[in-house]
Amino acid sequence: MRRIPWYLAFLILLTGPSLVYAKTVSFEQLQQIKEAALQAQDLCFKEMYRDTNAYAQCIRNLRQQYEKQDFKSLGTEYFGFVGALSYMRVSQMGAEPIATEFLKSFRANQKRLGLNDDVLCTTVPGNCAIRNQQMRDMEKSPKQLAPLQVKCEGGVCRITPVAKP
Amino acid sequence: MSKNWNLSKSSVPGALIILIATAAAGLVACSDNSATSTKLTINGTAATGAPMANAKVTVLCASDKFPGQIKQGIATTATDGSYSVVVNDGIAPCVIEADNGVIKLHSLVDADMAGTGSRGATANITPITEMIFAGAADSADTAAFFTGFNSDKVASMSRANVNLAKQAVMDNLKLIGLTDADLVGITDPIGGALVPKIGSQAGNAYDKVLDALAANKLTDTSNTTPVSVKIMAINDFHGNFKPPSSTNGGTVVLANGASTKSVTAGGAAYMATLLKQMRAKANGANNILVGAGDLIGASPYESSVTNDEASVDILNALGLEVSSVGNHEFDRGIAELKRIQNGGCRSAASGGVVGTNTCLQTGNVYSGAKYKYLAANVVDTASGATALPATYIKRFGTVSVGFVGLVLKGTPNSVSASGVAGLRFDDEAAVINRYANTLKASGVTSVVVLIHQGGQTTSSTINDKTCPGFSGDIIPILNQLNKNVDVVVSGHTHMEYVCNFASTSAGKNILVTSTGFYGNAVSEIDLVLQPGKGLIGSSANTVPVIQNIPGNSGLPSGFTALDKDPTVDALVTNYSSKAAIAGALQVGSITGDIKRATYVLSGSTTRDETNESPLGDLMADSYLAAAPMGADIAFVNPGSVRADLLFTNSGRANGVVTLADLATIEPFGNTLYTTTLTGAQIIRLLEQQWESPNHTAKTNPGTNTVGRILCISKGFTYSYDNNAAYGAASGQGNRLVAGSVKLNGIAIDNAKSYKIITNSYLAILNPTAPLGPDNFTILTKGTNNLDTKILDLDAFIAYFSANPGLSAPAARITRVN
Repeated sequence: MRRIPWYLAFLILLTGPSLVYAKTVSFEQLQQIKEAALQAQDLCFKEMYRDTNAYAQCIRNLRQQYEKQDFKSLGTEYFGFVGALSYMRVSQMGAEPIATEFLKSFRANQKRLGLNDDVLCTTVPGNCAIRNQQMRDMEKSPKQLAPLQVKCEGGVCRITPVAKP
Repeated sequence: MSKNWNLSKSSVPGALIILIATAAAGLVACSDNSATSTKLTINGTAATGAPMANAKVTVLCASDKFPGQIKQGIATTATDGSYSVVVNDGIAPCVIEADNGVIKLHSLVDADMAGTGSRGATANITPITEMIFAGAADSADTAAFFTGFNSDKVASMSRANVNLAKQAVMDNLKLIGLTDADLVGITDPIGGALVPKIGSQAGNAYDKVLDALAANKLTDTSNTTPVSVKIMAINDFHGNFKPPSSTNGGTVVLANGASTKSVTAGGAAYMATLLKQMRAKANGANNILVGAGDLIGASPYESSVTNDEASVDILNALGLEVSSVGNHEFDRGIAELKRIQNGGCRSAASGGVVGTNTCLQTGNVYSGAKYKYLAANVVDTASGATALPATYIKRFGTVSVGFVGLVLKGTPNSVSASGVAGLRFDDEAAVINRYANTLKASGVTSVVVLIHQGGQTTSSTINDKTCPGFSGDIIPILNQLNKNVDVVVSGHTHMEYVCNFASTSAGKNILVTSTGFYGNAVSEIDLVLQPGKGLIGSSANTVPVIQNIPGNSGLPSGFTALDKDPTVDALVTNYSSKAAIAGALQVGSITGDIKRATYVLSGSTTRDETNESPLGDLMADSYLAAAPMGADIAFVNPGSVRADLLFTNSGRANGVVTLADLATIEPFGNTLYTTTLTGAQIIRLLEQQWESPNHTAKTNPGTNTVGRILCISKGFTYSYDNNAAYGAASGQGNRLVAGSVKLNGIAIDNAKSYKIITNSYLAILNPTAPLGPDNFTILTKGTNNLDTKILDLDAFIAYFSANPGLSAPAARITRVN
């Protein structure tokens, strides 16, 4: 693997990781990402409120279709993250683990293809400054997600994280 | 009186005016005197309260002699407003216009009259028939519809359409203050008797309604000062009057510069304070709290154990005034929804125990929802009328807002068929447009839609008014709405958004909102309405219900934490205590954990429907035990088992099973159904577990299993080959191990009949959901079907009561490979 020049490493330190993947992508490649993201939105997003697992599975199935198409695969995974992140804003149960899963998976692909966060962000509408910061926060302090259970207290039951032993 | 009506006054095209002038020669005029023609005679009275004297009456009818043509007759009204028109070669339907030079009013003869063989009909022409005409025509521009009436528009005058429009108008008349007693005289506004008051001659009951209507005018066009109106909206509350779990609706993410801030949110007592603050900012009393459905149903235990009466009482206290129904309002059927609306205790036959789980208000009563549920697209198929009112009108001084409430047309796909039996769910956009037109024709200043259907955006913080990536099932609806719709308050997707949507069909922006779910936020919608003009300004914000607790310190600018409202908090505490008392009752005992199949995905424990569920099997045993006259096999869908039953749980002794435990596991209120299947059908039913589309609906990458595995009762066993192909087309699957399907150790006989018991969710095929819930169509094809009316939860409770010391049953399904 080629070493990153010292001046670029210094820039990365200053600006955060958004410049890590600073290769140039073609317009066509960017379009592929956008199209795949839009397809994921059309096919999978509406599953989210009913069954977060169905949403995740829908994204995984779609990604599998694009196994040999890097940019489409990236677009699918990236939307998988953004769609779940958008439901995290209202704390839909199961959204955060799914966002975490697809954040990890698209990062690997993104790095390989050499897109920076700002460019990738343009493929799905939204506030990029906030979204990119949220990505960095999730990576910096990965949340330990407690398994959930139904807990009854005094005859009243609700879904809660499993208490630590 | 006519100047008070905000009716269409568009001009009649010049050619038609010439035609009218030429033809109008007296009380009766004919367009054709051919001896061979068949004559259709239309008569009636034109009046606005006072008779419309010397008005030109033009009648346009279909033709039986010349199919595809429109035939015309013209007359002039007498001094008492009466008229009679003959239309040669005409046949119903007919559209009618009366024009006295000041206003135009319209009426009709519906298409079904043609089938009676009659050649005569009565059709009064009044402001009320004008509204009915607008509804049936699906057009607020009634004059334009009339002049453009052609063979393509004949279908709109069907009796079904006209009856729906008539019902909406009659509902609206009540909303603006007319009583049932007032309306007795106009059960048939088109064909009924109308005698206007002339001099000393008194008018009849119909005429008095027209006078009352004039006095109750919705829009005072003499005052054009703009009026501010605040609409506060919630959706998908789902009975969460207590703050929801922080991991499930109880947290919202706020923008904080380029960063974010998560805060805990929700709880009716906190929401009450927020609503008070919003009302204080409103223009006097010009405010209203509205809902967009799923306010009850799929509720937490403390609400569901009270049959959601606790939630309704608390929503009453919050001041909710009107809401659309949501799909979950139909979870227990339309009769139960009407009880929720109108009050009264849940019957003992339906599991109601007065003072314990129903009628918990002082004096052991349940007074019903003070707010009105609207269901404009839910039609009672027997009567042809909407199951609940379609619209609601609220006046704010000199302006008024008309609300249309409805639910997604796909409701039958997500509700047990027994919950929607006898109901039809019509296309959303067509219904909205029709009622928007009648509301506008009634003179309302603005139309607001409350719809339990929604979309999603890709924003990662709430109240992002750029509305990025707006998508979902609401979009095609918005793109079919007409210009009469100003605001859409939506729900269903548990999403939050504030969008100014450019509707292609309306040719304007429509404000669209949704608040999230479980009461974690309120949409604050501010409208500026001008009498005689309509909506002239609008804005909206999603305002989170931020609890004033230590963890919510350091809020971004513009956000405020809320204290609890003591009155609503006392109600919440009261109902929580009652729920705890009801729920703490011991109904059985267990010797160890009895769980569902589960797996952990990204740290979260999830129900695994691809593997056998011991607790689901126990539930199937309870079905079997409850079967009247017994049954051979019970089947339960794995999605019906909503929680595990743990030996150790706080708040109760180890091994004790409480009502709360079982209500949490089985919360849907389904009834048990019996049916008869052949052995061959049972084989097909089992194969459907892995056939398309069930093979992709549920998957478990950890155990490499797919499909929906039905929970089965004791004595029934089978094996399947996990290496065999899955996802076959319906009827083509072949994963069962040959000869392995047995009942009490004896192989199932393909030709023999077996009595099956299952739940109403699985048992009933709804025509609008041809794959059946969970795609198990075979269960809907049995014979001797019977709804036992036994609640699944009651069967579960009875089974635990009769069998103390239960433990997890041994596996009944064997996976090979």
